[in-house]
Amino acid sequence: MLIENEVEKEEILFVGIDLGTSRSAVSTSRGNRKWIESYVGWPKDFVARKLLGERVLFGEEALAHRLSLLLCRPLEHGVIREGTEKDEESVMELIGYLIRLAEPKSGDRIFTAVGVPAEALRVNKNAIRKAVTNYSEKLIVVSEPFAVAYGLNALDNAMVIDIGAGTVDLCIMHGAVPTDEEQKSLLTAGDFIDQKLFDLLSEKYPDANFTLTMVRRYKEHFAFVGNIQKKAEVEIPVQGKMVVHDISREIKAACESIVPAMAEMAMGMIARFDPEFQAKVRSNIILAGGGSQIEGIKDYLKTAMAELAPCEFTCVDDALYCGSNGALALAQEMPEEYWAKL
Amino acid sequence: MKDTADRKTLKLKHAILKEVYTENAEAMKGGAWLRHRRRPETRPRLGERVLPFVITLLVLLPLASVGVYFLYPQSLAAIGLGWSKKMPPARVSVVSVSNVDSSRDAGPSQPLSREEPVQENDPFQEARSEGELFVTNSPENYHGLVDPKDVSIAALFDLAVRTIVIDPGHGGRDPGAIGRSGLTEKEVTLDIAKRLRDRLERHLSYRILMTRDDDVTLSLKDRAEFANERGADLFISIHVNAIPAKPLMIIETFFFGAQADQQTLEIAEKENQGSEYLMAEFRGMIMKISDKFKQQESETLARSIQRNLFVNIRHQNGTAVSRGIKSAPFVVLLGANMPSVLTEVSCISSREEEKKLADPVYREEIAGYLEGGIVQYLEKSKKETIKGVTHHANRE
Repeated sequence: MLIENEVEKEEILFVGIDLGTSRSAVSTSRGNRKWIESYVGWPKDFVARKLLGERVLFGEEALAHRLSLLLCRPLEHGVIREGTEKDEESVMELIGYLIRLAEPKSGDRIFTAVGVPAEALRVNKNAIRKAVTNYSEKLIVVSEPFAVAYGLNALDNAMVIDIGAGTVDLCIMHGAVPTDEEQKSLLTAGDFIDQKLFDLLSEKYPDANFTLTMVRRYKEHFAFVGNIQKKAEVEIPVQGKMVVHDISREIKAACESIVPAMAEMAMGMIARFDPEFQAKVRSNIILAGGGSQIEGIKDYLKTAMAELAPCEFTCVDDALYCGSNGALALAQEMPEEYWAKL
Repeated sequence: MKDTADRKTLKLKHAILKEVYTENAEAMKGGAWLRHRRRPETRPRLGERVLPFVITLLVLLPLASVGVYFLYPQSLAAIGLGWSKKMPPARVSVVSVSNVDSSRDAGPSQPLSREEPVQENDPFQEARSEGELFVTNSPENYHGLVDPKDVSIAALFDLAVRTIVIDPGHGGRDPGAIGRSGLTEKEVTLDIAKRLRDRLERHLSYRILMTRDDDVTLSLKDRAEFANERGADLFISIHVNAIPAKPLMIIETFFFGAQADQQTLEIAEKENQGSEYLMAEFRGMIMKISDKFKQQESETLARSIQRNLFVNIRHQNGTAVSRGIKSAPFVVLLGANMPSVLTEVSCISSREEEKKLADPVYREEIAGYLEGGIVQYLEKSKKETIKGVTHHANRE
């Protein structure tokens, strides 16, 4: 009987997916881990299709050929835009690609857990289910911050702040799946920083020639808050000539622009939590997502929230995969009888 | 000890997994992904599906079609543009505007006046005397337009709001009203608008845009087109009143409509300066007068904003007076395709008020009151359910 069970388990490939606005990651029960930029692109016309030789391109490859593609970032602003068939289709393509990245063997039964931005879970849960159902036999959909919390075993009296590109998701864990009241989202996230940085640089260097994609790279390379420790210098073309620009102040201002709303939202959520357990939550705030990699964010938030009471922050070690790892843990630990009924 | 902790964690995990399973199993039941299109969260955007609805109603309700047929000439007459009789002026003329109460017999139109005689059993009389909200010139005259039963179209079709455009009045070469200390309306409106944007951005799901976020000159046409091109669902124009002749602190909110009293028309004429609309474009714009949906939602939004503004500001300034909500032919409201309001949040000609407006804390508070009004409107729209036919008058 034991042997039979083991054989049966061998045939199941558990897949954890973190479907993010900017990046999506996949972790599998066979130890595979992959990530891609959350871009999907279709060739604009038959010439582009012939040139690219693909029906659809993903991630970096799609970005690299963006001029020949109808490029789509399906979860922009943290949700699938309504009424746009292309967005729903792109989610489907993206999930299909991620599951292919999981390298399932022929005949594998695929059981998938998908973590999505909290807002998408509220708004697009069924659209996401529809997108995944073509590629996976069984499926559960959860919010990203919840998946992170589960993966880190931060199940009780903890707060997860998942700083993504489209949204910052805040979630209080208290030994149960968080309700809407315990799970909030802000739109002032990574993309907001990009736009802010773009605006600040446009204002300061009106002759410099740069795009939002370039600005995003600058942010990812130099992002910091608090005191300026090192200069952020980048080469930007000015009338065709590469010129070094110091963008330290602009990086700082753009990154710090998302903190007040985040701190205020976190303080509000903690203040509404059961007063007996507020101190425990304050001492266990976990920063996840790409934004947790902003240099100095932990201390900066700590100072900002000192107004409420002392808070303790930790940043996840593996920001890129903590969501997909958490989703994978959920998938693997979900009892078989539950999977069977799904 | 460690075993106990592990057992506790396992128990906790099991309970959580059960919840995850239950939630996902429930999502699968009842038509799962086919159903999601009808769920409130995935409602069509406000304004996107109204046209088919209006067309359907016009087909189904011949009376409504007749109503439209009769309405246009009246609507045009309402702002002095008897289409078949004379060319439209480029700007609304104060003198030519007249009342268009369709319930009245044909005959010489009577100009509206603020000093209308008090009627017996006037339901607004008490509120008026207390300086509370009241509605003048509500679009009741358009009964025959779409549906005589006054269906709330937004509620009927479960329409949602996604994009909100905030329009800080004036800017650039146009300072708007100027206070005694030199404080300009354009500075105040821009600052309040930015604060309002920051506040609204904290709410879920809404895309907040501003027609200007700097001191730049924008025509009224630019502002309306900005909102139209971006598919806005709501348009909120922020202004500051100025009544130099009297020491008054008046708060009022306007929504789009053809009717207006003399006083409102004077304000509208002033605010309509520099519209940059051409005569040829005006015909298309004037057709929007028939937009029942836009009027309904604009009025509801205006009411919610005005209530929040006035009730809160009154606490701080006992001399504040509410002129309530009013329909008015502001070009910027006419040009915008979506529900739109223009709110006069303060009165810069009042010395005391000007001093307060110079204080960022007060401007933040005003932004908060505006936010409150908008959020209440949005919440109400979400919660509103239709039991048979919702009567628009009962929506409050």
